[in-house]
Amino acid sequence: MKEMLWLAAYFPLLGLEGHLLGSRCRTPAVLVADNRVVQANKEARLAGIEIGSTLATAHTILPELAHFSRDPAAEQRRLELLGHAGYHFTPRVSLAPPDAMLLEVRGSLRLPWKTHPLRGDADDRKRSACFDVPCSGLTAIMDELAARCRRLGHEGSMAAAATPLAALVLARSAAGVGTPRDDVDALRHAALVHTDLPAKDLERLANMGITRIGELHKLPAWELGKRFGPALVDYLARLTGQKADPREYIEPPETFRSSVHLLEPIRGKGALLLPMRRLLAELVRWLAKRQLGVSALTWAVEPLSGQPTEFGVEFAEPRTDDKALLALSKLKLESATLHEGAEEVMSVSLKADSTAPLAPAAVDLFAMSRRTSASSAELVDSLTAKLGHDAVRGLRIVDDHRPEHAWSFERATNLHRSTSEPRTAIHRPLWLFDPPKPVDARLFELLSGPERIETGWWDTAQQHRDYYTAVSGDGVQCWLYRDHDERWYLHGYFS
Amino acid sequence: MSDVNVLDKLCAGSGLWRARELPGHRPGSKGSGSDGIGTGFPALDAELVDHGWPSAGLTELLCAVPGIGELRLVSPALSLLCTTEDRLITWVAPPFVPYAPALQAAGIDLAKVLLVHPDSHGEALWALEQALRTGACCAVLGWLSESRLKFAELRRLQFAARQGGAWGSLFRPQDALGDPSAAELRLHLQPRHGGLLVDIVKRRSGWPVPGIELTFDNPESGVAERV
Repeated sequence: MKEMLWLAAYFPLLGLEGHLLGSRCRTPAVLVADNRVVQANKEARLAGIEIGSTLATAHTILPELAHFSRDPAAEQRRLELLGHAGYHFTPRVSLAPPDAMLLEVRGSLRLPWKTHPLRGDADDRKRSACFDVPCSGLTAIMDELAARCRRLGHEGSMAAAATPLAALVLARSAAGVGTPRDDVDALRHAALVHTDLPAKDLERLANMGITRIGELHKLPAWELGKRFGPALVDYLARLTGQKADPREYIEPPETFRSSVHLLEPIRGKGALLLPMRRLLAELVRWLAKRQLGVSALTWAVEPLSGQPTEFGVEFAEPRTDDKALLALSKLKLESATLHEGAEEVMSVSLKADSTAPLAPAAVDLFAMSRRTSASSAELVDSLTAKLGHDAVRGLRIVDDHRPEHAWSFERATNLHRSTSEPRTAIHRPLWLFDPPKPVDARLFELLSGPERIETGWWDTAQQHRDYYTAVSGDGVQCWLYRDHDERWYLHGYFS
Repeated sequence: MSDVNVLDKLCAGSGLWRARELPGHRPGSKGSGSDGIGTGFPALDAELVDHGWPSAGLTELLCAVPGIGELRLVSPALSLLCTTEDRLITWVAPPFVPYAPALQAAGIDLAKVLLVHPDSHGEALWALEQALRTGACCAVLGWLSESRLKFAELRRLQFAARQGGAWGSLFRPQDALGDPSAAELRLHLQPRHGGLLVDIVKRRSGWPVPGIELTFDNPESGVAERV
């Protein structure tokens, strides 16, 4: 196999930039974890705030400092987004959490990337000599990747090398310095702090006077293994390419997105149906090719001026037929309110948010059950499209002794999937009052009881109740209880 | 032309029918091979044209007060439907919470129960009609805002129930007794100790029948004995 060329992009301020998205003005800001500053932007650093200082210290230096707390999940999402930006250049994109990504670009160098007009050829020639690559490809990729990341709000430092680890180390050592230096010498001179070695090892090496990769590399491997364990030797072997370092590549989700831009503005919701039908026909073709069904759609209606209106449609089962999709979207459109100025619509776009492979048609002997579940899914879909998720639900049993906790609503999409086995007959009413209604016990004639329910001491909803069957003056059989404080409540009708 | 011929022509060409030609009342059939949904109460079955609830049509249950036993009246039939049908049982705008453990104990499969809580009378009507018409439900139970219910709406629901092959039951207060209705079957329910007193106010192919006494098999557990 041909030698690989790895491009590492390192985002030292990933977490902080994630919080600053959309804010144009450059205020000093820091990212805080465990009450210590972990990331600080240029403005904050210029003011004298150091990484590792406490938040209190930072605020003393700069009272107007903006601070955010670290959110690893959000950082991972930002990194994935950047990874998808990298997917533009090569299908081999690998994330190096928490704050870097790796692109294998050997195969992409010959492609005609547009080069940056200001960048001289000197850099290119130097790089071509190092990596035996044709002119201009790498620089162009780096420039374009940096521009794409900047559009997402992230500044990265980049470097290329023959192994992923070397590229990472170079990218990290280049952070804040400017032009990345990516020759072998640079790697040799790179400080060990930019590697992924544990802090304990770094400290021991520093005590031995070893701070650079070149110095470490000169030491005999088996001696290092003896002193620092196999992990360090393994890391060095992967860094220098003596050992293969396979990476997992990200796979971008396949999504459908299309829009219709109109030459003339159209008015009214009714007129929207025509472009919507066209987009749905396109979607259905796309789905058919991939044997997929769509389970959630988002429509965006963009007026001549002003905010676009978005509305989503969800389905109980993945769908493929455009007539049903249109009918459900129409229901949703009718209940959606268009934004200000949306009387004149200029473009309509459709996005398939989630798709699922179509289940092979399960045909039973009488071809009954499939048809039934399909039509009940249609009913659930049209009810939810018009009334909303909270208005269309199923029921489910919860294993709890407290009567009002023994049941709960169930998502309507799970209907037909849950199977409940009939239980032994219990003395419970068919109608339940939620919440129980305070009543005057004198108006009822007690028939049987009490059934004591005393439970829930493990959480706040502790109960101590005596339940009775009773008959009201109207002849209705009721379920009453008396609580700890001798108050009476009506909890249900046996009906 | 004789009068008899005119009558024959009318019967053949239009939607008119003779009471004695109804299903279940056909001469020769002893009335056992009907397509009604067994109510679980033999005394009631005997008076109904299909020997049970209409499997495609609208039933009105007019209750003196809510909670007197209207659910225990329909639950044996719902339980029966759960074993014979794979379709949904949809509840539109129930006034209280249908209590899952009791439903299950009554033999109703919770996986087939769909609850719909619309915001307005218009939405409730729409949901009822959808549930009845699509054929996805074997039974639809509905509670509508009484003050705004119109005769035309009831007719629409009856038509939708016919079309979708669903048993629609509408629970209404007894004040509606005097109102005209398009439902095929109207029952007036009054409380009796351990059971219900049912008057058939309207039924196909028959006169009203007052005073059918029904006893719930096991009033203590709220479970009608299942076959």
